[in-house]
Amino acid sequence: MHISEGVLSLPVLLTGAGLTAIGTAWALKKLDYNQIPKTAILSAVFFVASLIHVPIGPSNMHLVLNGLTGIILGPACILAILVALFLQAVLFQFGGLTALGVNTVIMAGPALVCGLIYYSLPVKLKKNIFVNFCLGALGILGSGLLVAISLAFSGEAFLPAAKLIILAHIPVMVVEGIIASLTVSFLHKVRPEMIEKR
Amino acid sequence: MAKLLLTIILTLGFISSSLAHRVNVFCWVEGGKINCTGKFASGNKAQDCQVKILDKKSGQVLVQGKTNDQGEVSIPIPQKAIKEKLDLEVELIAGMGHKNTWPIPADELVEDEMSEDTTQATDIDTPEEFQKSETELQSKVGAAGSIDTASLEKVLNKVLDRKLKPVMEKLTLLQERPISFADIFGGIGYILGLMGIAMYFKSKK
Repeated sequence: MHISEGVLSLPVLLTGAGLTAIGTAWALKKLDYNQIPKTAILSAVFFVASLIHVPIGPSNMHLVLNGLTGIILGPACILAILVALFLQAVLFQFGGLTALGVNTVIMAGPALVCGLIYYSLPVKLKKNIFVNFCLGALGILGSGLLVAISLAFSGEAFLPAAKLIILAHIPVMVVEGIIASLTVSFLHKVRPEMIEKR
Repeated sequence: MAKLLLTIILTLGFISSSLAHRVNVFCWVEGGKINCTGKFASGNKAQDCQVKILDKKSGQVLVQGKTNDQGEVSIPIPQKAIKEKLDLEVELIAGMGHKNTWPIPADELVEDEMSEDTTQATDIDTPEEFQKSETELQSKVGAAGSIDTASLEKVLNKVLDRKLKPVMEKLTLLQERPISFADIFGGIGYILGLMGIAMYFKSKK
């Protein structure tokens, strides 16, 4: 779900860049000293996850892990995802520098929503496997919708694009949901302080 | 339910390769045609994707095509481009926000204008035809008493074209840069470095 350079129209690119700048400033302000290593680790995970291809049926897709990043990091997920996407663009030529702002919004927006939902839940629900599965899947669903919206504002028809993207990502949603619920319940057992407080 | 599943599987089959994150397009000119191959970073072929050949300056679409099952397409060079010596750009659109381009400078096209002529003058595709054209050439030599340099050049061009085809193809495809371990570890190193910088600035003095 990295949008390439030269696909989107200028207003979409500028809006994406602006939103990313605001989000980054906000997240930097909120960033706590103790959270920095956690953010870096998750950024590295996000950076590498896109190289892990999951062959499902006839197709072949890669992990995104934005829902999980949002759950573990909260607002700092914007920083982790921005850095990882920048490095993916520079080193792997995924996406591109001009589309970096839009791609960050696409990935970090749903991640942030997942994080905010997670932190507003009571402790009992935070440990619920099904809730975490849904949050993991929600990250991908949100990103898919945002891709479709960005394409729609650049001239592609919204409904067919959205349908195609979301249908295609159903297996990824399932895989990410499973990974998110497993990781979160594992962290609740071994490192509860990492996942209970922001 | 079964119908829904079937639709999902079918859709997946069609767009499978669009899910990778980078699409590459490689093109080379040969025998009056522009050959293009589309590939995703994961190694999958870019099937059934739209390929547009544009005039680089004006951005006007000159010809269009679609890749086949092998992710390949060959499109005849537009006459306009040869006549006006336009720099071309090949654009491959793989859907869901994936796109890439490949430039073709005008000088590559000019060379092919000659072989286009040769196609009409002496069409050599099989060894027999080559022999035929050779004898034609010899008879011309006999008639004129000296080698007709223009026709010799045409024949040589055509032969070279045929011989160089696999080389051109390989050279073009070699330009693909796969992701290496150096990239991956370099990226992780950058992240750790940024972490150090962030910790330095956020540390209590």
